[in-house]
Amino acid sequence: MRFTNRYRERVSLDWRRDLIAQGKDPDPRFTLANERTFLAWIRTSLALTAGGIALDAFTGPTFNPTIRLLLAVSLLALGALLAVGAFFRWYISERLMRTDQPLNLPLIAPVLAAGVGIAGFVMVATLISSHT
Amino acid sequence: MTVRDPGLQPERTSIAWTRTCTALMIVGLIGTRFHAGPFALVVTLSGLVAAALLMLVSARRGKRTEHELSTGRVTPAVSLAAALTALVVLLDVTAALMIWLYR
Repeated sequence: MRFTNRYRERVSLDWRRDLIAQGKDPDPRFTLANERTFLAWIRTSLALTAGGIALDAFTGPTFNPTIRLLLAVSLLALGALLAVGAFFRWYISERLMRTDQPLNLPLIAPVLAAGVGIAGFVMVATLISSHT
Repeated sequence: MTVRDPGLQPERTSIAWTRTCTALMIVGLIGTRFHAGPFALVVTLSGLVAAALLMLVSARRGKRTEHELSTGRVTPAVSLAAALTALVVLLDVTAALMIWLYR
């Protein structure tokens, strides 16, 4: 019995309880602001999903099929990565607020910038090379 | 008792959820517009159904938040956020399979 309890404690998947168990309640407005930031990241991720699908649907013969597939799937993968990153950022920020610590800089921001930058560069390069 | 928050935080959070659900719907509809096959169906159905469900659940949470604000303690929406994240990942994976296998 005791073993079960200790085991459950260690591998607890009850994230909500784990989160609330620490520190003290922050200003409720900060909790809500954190949630909206998470949602903004999720919408950004959804925009990348729509972008990936649209890129595949719209570019047609302009892009070589392999490059088109690669670009579209990369955008979708970036979208998934951002969604997961946004969740962890939200969760960690909430925990830091509860324990009165400064928040981390968003690691997903440079990931987004680099990903979209590289994808854009490849698109422009492909477009230019297909027209010359 | 309802406390008026001059920053309108509950309202802003509530419409942020609505915006996100709308974006989910759009992604679902884009799936059905440009593709066919089983994966496109999954993208569309999961996008639309999830948008509807999340809209309802988040609206309920919004009401609770308005009430909770007067007690000074708003519970973080861990399960909602986790569900939304899992859904977005599922959408991305299905969309990738859709593009890859049914071109």
